[in-house]
Amino acid sequence: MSPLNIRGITEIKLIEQCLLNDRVSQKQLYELYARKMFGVCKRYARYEAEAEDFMQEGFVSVFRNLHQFKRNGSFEGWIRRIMVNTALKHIKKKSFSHEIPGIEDYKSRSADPDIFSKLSEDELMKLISELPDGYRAVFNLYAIEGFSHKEIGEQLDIGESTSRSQLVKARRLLQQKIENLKNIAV
Amino acid sequence: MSKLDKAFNEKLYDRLETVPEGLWDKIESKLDAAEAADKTRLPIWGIATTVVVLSILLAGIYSYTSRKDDISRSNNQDLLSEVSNGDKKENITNINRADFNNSTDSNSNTKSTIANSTTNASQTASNSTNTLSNIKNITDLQLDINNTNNRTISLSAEIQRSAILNEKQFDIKTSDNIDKYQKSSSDNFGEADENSRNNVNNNSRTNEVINAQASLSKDKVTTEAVSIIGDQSRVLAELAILGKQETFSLQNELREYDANRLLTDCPSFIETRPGFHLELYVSPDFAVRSFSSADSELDNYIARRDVSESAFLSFSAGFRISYTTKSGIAFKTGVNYSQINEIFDYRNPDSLQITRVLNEAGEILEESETYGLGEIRTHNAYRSLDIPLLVALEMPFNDKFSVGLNTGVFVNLLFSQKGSFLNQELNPVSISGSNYKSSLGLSFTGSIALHFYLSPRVDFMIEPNLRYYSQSFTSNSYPISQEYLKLGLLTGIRYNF
Repeated sequence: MSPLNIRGITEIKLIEQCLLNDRVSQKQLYELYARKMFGVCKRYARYEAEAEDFMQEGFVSVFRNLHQFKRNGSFEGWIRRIMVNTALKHIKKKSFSHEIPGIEDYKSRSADPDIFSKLSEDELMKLISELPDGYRAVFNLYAIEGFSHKEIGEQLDIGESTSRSQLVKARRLLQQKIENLKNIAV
Repeated sequence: MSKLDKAFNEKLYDRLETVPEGLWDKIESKLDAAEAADKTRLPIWGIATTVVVLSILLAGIYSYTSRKDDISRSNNQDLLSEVSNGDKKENITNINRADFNNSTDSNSNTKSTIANSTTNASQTASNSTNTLSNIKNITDLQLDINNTNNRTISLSAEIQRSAILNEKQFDIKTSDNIDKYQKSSSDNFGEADENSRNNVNNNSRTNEVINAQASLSKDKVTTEAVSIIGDQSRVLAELAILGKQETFSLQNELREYDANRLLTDCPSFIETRPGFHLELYVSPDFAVRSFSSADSELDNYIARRDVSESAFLSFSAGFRISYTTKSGIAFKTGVNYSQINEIFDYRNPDSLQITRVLNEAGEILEESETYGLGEIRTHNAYRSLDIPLLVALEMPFNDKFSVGLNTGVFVNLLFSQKGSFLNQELNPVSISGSNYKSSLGLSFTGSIALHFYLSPRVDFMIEPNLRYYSQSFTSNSYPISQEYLKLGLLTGIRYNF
């Protein structure tokens, strides 16, 4: 764990205070990670209100399960994992039930690779939020969180092939939307 | 990773977002509610396990103590059968005779010994320490006898036991006996004096026995001795001094006493009360409730419901018809009414009543604010009518008491509810049938029944019991489950047909 220093208090000390249900310390910890975790929640949510729900439930879960945190790992990574899991709980399996597994090559339709880097964070967030639930979840987990298809399959209780299919379709959809943005800009 | 993926990863992985105001307050209130729920939630399985373990422990202790009593009584029966056997009688007499050196057969020796005891009463008192020691030796001698004949162990033990129970009779008999021997000894004092000296030399153990006996009813020292070494040596001493005829007389008395006692006490001859019974009962109950939901978003709602609905004294009542076989297995059925009571207490902390006094022109003359009028308190009741289907095992322990184990199911016939609760918007609403089931299906029960026989026809029952409702009270479409475990103490009357 990083020896993070918050107003003269180390992260370890802060966690210990939180374990005593000290609300002041819990609020400090929340304020430390709230902005970053809200960014995580928003990536998985369709609307900001849904992201707020994920955030509330996620932080309640963090504080109620803080005793399970093993101090040899990254605390931020642990909190992020809880936020992601909380969000995934709300993504129903039915989000994937009507998907037909299959690989489609989006690269053939890709035009300007640099266009991705030219998009702002807000634009990318908007693009993600417009994805269907299943696509958004798989794309977030694979492209941003770095999970493998096997891990995604286990987390979402779907097959690896379904995860691959969802990812391909998500990419294709994102590419189409980016192309549209480009055309509008031109 | 594709360029598309990389672009999203680099720009969004650590993206910071502006957090809406008031989000922490919502998290804090959820934490408060969850902690409150933790405090109010009763450890259902902990309670159930404790009840079961305690019940088994109590039953085990009771069973153990009762079995010890049974074994003792069983030995007593052996005693009686042996006493009635001529050979055994002779055996007993021979043992006494041999070990106490003809003390019961030799009248003159005995007389002289008594004379010696009488003459040397003061010496006996002054030698109390020696007497104690000698009596202990007699006890050791009895142990030797026991080693020689194991059956005699039980016999002596039972004579001792019976002697304790017949202590008063023994005392009278002993006193009479001593008087008789003292009278005889005074008539033959001169002759006995010489004989007694020889006897003391030749038979010190007999002297010790007689010394102990002679001082039994009068001598304080001997009383202490008896209290120290127990009644065993005293009984043996009495048997020795009473002589063969008296011994048989005593044995006959013991046999008669125990035979009478066996008619009522011995469990070997006591069966369960077979046949049909009618049981009428009431039971104060305590219902342990638990709310649960697969949807964690409802945790706050569950916590609010837990806090707003508290347990109140519940009860059950009903009757059962049972048939008990001679082997103690019983089958029971009947009608049971159960009512789980709770108090719904809701107070809206934000409620505010503003009272304004207006004049005719509509101007405010006076205004007052009152808090707390949003309080609601109702009595919630969950009523069920059931048919119990039970199997029981009854184990009698004596003529006054039996223990039974009951287990089985309740088949629910009717289920109704009344009262109020908080809906998901946290507003108080009346309990409606759509939110609750109309039937609870099966629930499982177990109990330990204690039956006290008041008369040949009537028993008093105490039955600690446990009932587990296998289904949630709420309907399947309702988002939270409301489950119960009920602990009760049934009391009632059983009439034996």
